[in-house]
Amino acid sequence: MAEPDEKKQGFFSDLFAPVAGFGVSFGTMFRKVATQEYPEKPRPTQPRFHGRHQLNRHPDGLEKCVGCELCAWACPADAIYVEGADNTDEARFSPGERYGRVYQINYLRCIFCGLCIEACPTRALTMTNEYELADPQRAPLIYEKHQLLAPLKEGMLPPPFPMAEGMGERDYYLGRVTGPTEEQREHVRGRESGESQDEVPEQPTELPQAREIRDVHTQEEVAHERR
Amino acid sequence: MSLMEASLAGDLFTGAPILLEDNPAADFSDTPWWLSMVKAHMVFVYLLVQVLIVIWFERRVIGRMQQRPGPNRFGPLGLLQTLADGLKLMMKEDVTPRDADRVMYVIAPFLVGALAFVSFAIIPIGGEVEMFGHTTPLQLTDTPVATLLVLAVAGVGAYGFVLAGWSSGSTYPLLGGLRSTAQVISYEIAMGLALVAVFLYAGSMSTSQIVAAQSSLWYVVPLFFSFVVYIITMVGETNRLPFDLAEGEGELGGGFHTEYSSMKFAMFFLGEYINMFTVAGLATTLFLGGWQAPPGIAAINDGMLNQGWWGVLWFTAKMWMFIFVYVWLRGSLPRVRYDQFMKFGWKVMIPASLVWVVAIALIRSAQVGYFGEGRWALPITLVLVGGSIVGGLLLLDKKLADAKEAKLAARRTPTEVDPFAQGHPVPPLPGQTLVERPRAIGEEPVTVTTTARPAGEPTAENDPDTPEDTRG
Amino acid sequence: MSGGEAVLFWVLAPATVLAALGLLFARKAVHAALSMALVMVSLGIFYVAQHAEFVGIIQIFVYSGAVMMLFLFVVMLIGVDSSDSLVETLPGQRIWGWLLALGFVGLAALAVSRVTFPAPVGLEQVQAEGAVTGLAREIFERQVFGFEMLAALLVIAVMGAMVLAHREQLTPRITQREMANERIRSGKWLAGKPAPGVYARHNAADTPALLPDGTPVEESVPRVLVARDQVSPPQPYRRVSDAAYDAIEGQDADEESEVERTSKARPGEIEEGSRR
Repeated sequence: MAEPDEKKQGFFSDLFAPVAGFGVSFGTMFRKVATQEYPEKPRPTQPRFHGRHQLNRHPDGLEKCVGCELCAWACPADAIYVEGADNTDEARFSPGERYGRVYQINYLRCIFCGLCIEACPTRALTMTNEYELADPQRAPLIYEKHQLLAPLKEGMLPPPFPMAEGMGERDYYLGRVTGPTEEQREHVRGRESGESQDEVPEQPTELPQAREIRDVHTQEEVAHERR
Repeated sequence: MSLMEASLAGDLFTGAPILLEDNPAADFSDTPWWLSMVKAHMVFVYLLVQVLIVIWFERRVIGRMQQRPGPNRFGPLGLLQTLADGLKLMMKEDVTPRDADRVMYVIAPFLVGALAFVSFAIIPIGGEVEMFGHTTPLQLTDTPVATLLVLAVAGVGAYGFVLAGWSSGSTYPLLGGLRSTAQVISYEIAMGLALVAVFLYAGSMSTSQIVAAQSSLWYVVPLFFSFVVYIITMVGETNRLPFDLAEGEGELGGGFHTEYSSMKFAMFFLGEYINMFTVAGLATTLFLGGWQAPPGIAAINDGMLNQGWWGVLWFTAKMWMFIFVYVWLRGSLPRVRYDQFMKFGWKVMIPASLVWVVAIALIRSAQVGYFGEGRWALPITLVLVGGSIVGGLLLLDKKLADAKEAKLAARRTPTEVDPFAQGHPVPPLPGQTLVERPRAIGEEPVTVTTTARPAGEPTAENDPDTPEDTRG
Repeated sequence: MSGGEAVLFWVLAPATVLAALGLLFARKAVHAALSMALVMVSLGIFYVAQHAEFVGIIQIFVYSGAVMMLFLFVVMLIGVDSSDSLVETLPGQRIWGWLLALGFVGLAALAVSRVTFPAPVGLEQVQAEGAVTGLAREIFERQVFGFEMLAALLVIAVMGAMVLAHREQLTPRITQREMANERIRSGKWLAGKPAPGVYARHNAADTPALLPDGTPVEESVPRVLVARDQVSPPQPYRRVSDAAYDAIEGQDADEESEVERTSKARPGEIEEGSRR
């Protein structure tokens, strides 16, 4: 039965009590404003900020992603879609046997939790600090592999090209490859000059048809395919 | 003027009669009609420019009071925000509801907007100046009843609100319009009473006369209570926070201007701001000495800064002080509920103002000499009146404290409680004791006892009133 | 009349006459009330133009600002319609009305024709000490008795109005706390009634909320609107949901038939699982 301690306020204290509130608002006028002036002065993000994903490369340019799909399985929002494919001698995109041929992250579903980064065995998938991903339409927010791949740095070569001589997948993983070798450069030069003649398998850029509830024809087609 | 000064200063103790002058002190004899038109345009422009500034000012100051910058996107420091607002309002779609009364729907905002400017005609913005070869006071016009004109115009302006509400053809605007109008006419009364004290002191209702009468002492000093009452009623008249329930966004959509859009809404917006300026200007004129410079500055160089065009500076500064107070109130106080607000207006403000007017009338009569010509009439009156007021306040305070105490006592948990009172059993709180259920007349309490009873009296065992299962 | 005054008169007087005619012939009661307010304001302006400033301003302030405003309140709230019945219930009212009106008109015309007006003097002499002081002298020195009687009469009228309108509080007034307790005890709508936008596709106050099966909830619309028959039908907003449900059910039908065909499944279980 604890009652609040009722102090008998004085008459003038009661009369002028509301005035104290005015003092507060007057004083607030001179305090530093708490607003962030975005976008002129954006607040810098922390080092390990969960931003847009990035598919990293090895120092010589080969992609780290081996198409294992562990990130897709780890994603709680089902935002990642991966299709792996075999690396052949003619077209090698990553060290080792397989690479990610199709890699999509649907930023409409992604919740930026970072479980995919934790799942990736090769540290191919990391998150950058970029958060300005808004778009007025839905389709462009499904990012394809070419939008997620890390850009080529100084000295890197664009895949496909063979691994460095004598190096295997494990060597790449342990960081023993620090740059492209001359043979690799030759290969790329040869590939680029003879590109019009040779057929180089390219990364696919088409999306599989997204299923929509209202599109009855697509449903029929999908049903057909299943059968 | 000097006679006035001497009489005002000296009469506090000598009780010499004061020259009362009804007619305006301002001299309009040298003002041809075209000069009046020019002055009318000047007043119009003066008001509109200030509205442009006050929109920006209010939003920035409110923002700072809420620890945020306020508009700062358009122009440096957000100065072009008013322009952006105006353009937006102009380009919006002008919607007329299907059930609206076409004629009134269009007339109402123009009524509000136009009448708001009219009240400014009698407010003296400066002293006498030379304009285009004529000597004319910086005041559009003046009459012996000039201050009442402001009240009258406010009363007719209230028509705009009620018309706007009714002609929108839907319930929320109707309710909002009626509330708004009731608010305005209720607080007009209290405002009038606050002004009566000023009239008693100045001896006239003419604004230029009142300004002249304050040349030695601004009325905010002797009439501080009227000043406070006037500030409160002024905020209530203009439908501003904390008294803007009639247009409160949370309660009534938008009150009487819910259905209005585009330029008609801009008219209401404009009318509200101009009303603010008018009542602030009136407050300046009646309580803060109008266009006269503050006492220290007025003495410089024998009043060089206290005449003519300089008056505009002092007047504008004082008016903007009131505008700042308006914005400050808006930034600090929550909205008052409508019934609390009407109760306050009718049951607190009007009686208090009446008592104050009576007190002032007595003091003034003593000053003028109605209670005798001796030097003791005034001090005795002051002591008596002051004593009664203080006594009354103490009594009131005691009564309120007692009522509060009684209310709190009623809320305290009682020491004894009947657990079945609410219909279902309630366990006792710590410190409470349970009270036995009252039994029907004739019943004995169920007790386990072996003492013999006389044969005729009913015992628990064979008493037909006790329930079966409690019989022994 | 000087030039300015003549202009004022000849602009305002026809407007006043039109307003007076509007008062008589307006269709809507509110228009009539507003015409009357206009007449009163114009009269006030005429008084001011005739140098009776106090009376003029008070006419505007009190008559049109307060009295007419209250008239207007009543008319707007109660809503006097022109559709009110014009059938007169008093017998012979027409005949007697005409007779008395003609008699009065005759009498008035006779009286007015016999009046002689002295030459107008103006108010300068009376208001020598100022407009308000002149009036004050008249009221409080020469006519103080009549004034005090009028004041007493007004006070009595106000008290009478109060007594007539007073309602004795027979039951103790229920406080907010008690009302809240009652509501909790009754167990009805404890969380508040459903707002219109909760289930429906529109959040206007006059569009009712929809239950999951599509029927509108009457309690989600304010009673006033229901009484005034201003509830808007929710059908257009159900069409989108209905179309979506149909498409889903059509899809389910496809899936069902597929699964049945491919796995020779148990029909009972599948049906339960896919019918949402």
